[in-house]
Amino acid sequence: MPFQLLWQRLRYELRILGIINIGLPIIVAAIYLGFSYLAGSFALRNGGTDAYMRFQAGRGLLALLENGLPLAGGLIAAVVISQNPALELHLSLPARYQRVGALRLALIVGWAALFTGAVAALVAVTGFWLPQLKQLSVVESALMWLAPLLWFIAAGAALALLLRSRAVSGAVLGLIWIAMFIFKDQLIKDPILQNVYLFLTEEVGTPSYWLANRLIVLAIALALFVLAFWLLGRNEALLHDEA
Amino acid sequence: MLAYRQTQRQPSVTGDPRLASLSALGGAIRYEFWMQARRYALWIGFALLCLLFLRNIHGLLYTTAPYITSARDSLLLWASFLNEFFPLGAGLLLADRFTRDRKTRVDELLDTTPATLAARLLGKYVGAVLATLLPIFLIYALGVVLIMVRWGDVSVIPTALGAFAATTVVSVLFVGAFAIACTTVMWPILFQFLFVGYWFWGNFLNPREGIPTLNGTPLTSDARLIIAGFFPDPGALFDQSVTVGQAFGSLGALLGCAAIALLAAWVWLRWQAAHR
Repeated sequence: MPFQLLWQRLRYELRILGIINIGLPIIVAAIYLGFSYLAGSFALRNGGTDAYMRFQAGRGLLALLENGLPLAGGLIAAVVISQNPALELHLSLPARYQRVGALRLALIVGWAALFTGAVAALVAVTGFWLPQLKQLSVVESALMWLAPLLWFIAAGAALALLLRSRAVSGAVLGLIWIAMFIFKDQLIKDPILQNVYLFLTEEVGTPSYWLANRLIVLAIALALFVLAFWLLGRNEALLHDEA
Repeated sequence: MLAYRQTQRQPSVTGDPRLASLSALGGAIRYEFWMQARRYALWIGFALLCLLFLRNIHGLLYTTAPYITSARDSLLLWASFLNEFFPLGAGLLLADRFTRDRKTRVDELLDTTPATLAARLLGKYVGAVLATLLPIFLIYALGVVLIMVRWGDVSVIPTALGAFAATTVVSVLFVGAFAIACTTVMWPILFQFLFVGYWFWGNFLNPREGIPTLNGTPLTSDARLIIAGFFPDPGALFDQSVTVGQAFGSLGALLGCAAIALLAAWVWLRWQAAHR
């Protein structure tokens, strides 16, 4: 019986998540796969070797893991955490909305991590894992995509609750994403900011500060999750000016 | 009697459909403008971005680059730098303007009013875009003031206004049209993701990478061809091979695509309303 209740609850939460939020990582993966295929095809057409083709395609797949799927996760978190048409009713019930919101966020994290992990495993098994990443252990390889993924999800949730607007929080996430490319040189050359650069593996590789960078990004993500959890417990942050 | 005299003094707008549409258009522009301008999240979002830019303003003002020799050079670089970023923010912030009517369930109510679909759609576009340009213009003006103080030259104000109109206004008109048009057929979250990816692909992807890109074509949406053509600079700040004709071509292409996007949205919405 408890399993049935859990299953019903999960089905209900998945319906709330919606088909587009569940499907967005799949759409993103399809887009990046298309670009990776193009990159590999052009490499072969320009006289490159099979190894070079795999390298070019592998760069696209690394981009999918480190910047594509994390952005998608962040946008999903920003939308889901701020949408609840029956919020006032829910806040009047004994079940704490903070716990419900946290479980919803955990569901997003779980789905995004599961999908990204599956894609990473597929990339490794099909031989498109970049040579410079083969020196990483299994845990480090997981940390490579998990750190930016959790960062974006946590930032999306915290921004949506702070700014009370999913569009603006999505905009800030998108601008942070682009800023990582535009301000790459400045961020990487700064001895402090290089430790919070989100797309380090894809843009730079595995420099000496790589592990410190991933752990600091993960720590920031956890701090943002704590902030989001705290904001979920404040009804004025949820009800806008109605509290 | 007084009410009769009042109707005699004020021409009835309901008699002429064109006047009614213009009146509806004006009303929609005003309403959408103030609705967007009053979103404090819009101002907070751009203020956060402004902090990022202020971090780089010192380098921009006191750069020792050989191609920055005057206030004009500094100003054009500022306009170009701003335009790599802020139209992206504008497009993302405009992504929920159309779907808001559906979310608040007033779209069908608005369909019953005398205001035509075209007037409402165009009013939404113009009003929301103008309001979104407001914080961008203020940040741009702040940079212009700092440049004028740094170089002690106030004669660059017309150039500043021209550069803003030629770059940021054109870019925001382009992305705003697609933000409103695309969200008539796709979820805003999907549009936001695709738009971020498009902004990188269309403006920053190196054409030599081998993947086809709009970067370097007249449809480069950060308006770099426009600024290079209209504001030639002997210091090689921009691509020297771009002509005024190419700049006009890029301007026409971007605004033309914006018009096509809005027209397509109007046709789609009309079809949808007729088959509801």
